[in-house]
Amino acid sequence: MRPKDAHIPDDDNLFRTLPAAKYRDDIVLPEAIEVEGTSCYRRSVCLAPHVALAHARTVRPTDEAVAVVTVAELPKGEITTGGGGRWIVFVEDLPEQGNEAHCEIRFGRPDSREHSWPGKKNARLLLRSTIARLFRVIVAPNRNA
Amino acid sequence: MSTGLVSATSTPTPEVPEAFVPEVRRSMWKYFGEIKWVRANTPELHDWWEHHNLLAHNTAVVLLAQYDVVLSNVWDLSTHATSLGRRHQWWEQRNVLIHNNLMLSNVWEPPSALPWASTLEQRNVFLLVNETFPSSAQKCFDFTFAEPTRESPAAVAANRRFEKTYTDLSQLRSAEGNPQAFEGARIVAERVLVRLGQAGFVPERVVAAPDDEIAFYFFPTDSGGQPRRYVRFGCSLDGLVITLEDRDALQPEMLESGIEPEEIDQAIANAEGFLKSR
Repeated sequence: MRPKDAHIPDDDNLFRTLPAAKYRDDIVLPEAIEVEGTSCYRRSVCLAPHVALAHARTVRPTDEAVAVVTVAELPKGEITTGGGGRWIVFVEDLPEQGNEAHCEIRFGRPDSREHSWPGKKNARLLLRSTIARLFRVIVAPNRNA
Repeated sequence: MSTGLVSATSTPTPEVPEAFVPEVRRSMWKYFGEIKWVRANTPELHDWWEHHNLLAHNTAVVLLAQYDVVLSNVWDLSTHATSLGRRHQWWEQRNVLIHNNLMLSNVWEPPSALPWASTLEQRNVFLLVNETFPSSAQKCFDFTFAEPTRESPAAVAANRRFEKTYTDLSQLRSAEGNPQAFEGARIVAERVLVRLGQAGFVPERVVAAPDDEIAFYFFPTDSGGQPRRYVRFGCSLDGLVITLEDRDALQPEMLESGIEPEEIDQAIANAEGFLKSR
């Protein structure tokens, strides 16, 4: 298995596979994002969105679409939630046996790169919505990249 | 006169004693929040029912006069619903109460004197009245019959979408293993769905969301007919959160609301401009 990268370059694309309930046309819904860590496939490793989808279907057969975001598009600064909480977004490279392209979009505190997330539901929803809107759907039934 | 749901005989409705009118009027308006008058002849009643049955949550139906005729019509419609496989909770789900005993023993009573009157508070009340209703009784209720109107295809489609969304909502399961919180969210979501429907908005999608939340989605379109945004009504025991997502905005806008009916109505009003396609 390849070694874990300490840093994922800004020009890498992250693919997120989706079931029908989590997107509509080109819109990715907040339910597609998990504050505990949103698993994605790195394009630089898996090469094509169809490869990511084929792999995802072995685990989640109902996944049918692929959305993409580049690392550079993710928020670089702090996200402030309603209660005044400050959060950052980062991507953790997490190659796995059988899925070397695996990585996760994660949240943390500005003063620490440790993975954590808000305790308040509305703050979690804001973070999910903020990330979901950055994705765009590139593969879906009857529509290919 | 029988006060049961079904009477075998038809008894002419007595005139209302003139001196009694003010008290009845005062009582009626005290207890009844929203009153719809519906002429109870069969075809018109059928039209009315077809239109309203989907939105009839938290509704009381009060039948006045000649109730044996009216009830037989309603009963037929109920039987029709039964044949559609919704027998068991058809009435209960919609919390429909049927009352035909505004009159007791041919003596007019103010609703406040009747044991069921307090159950009508906070409900939408539909009064089904047939044409033989005595003219003097009209003084009590200030009603005039509105001519029934055929629903437009758009309205019929909206009703069908409402029914589908309601069915989808009833079938959702928690993805997070907290059934109690999820069932609470479902109760809130039902209330939100009905208030949305009454305001003329039917969600396009309902999903079980993280944090034991149930979310309704609307996808308004831009001038080119393309969905560019969504409006999300997130329902949970903690409250209602409306997310207004517009790609042209820097970040999603979130509006928080309580779950009381008037709070939900205000929240819908606040989101109304966004809900309508441009």
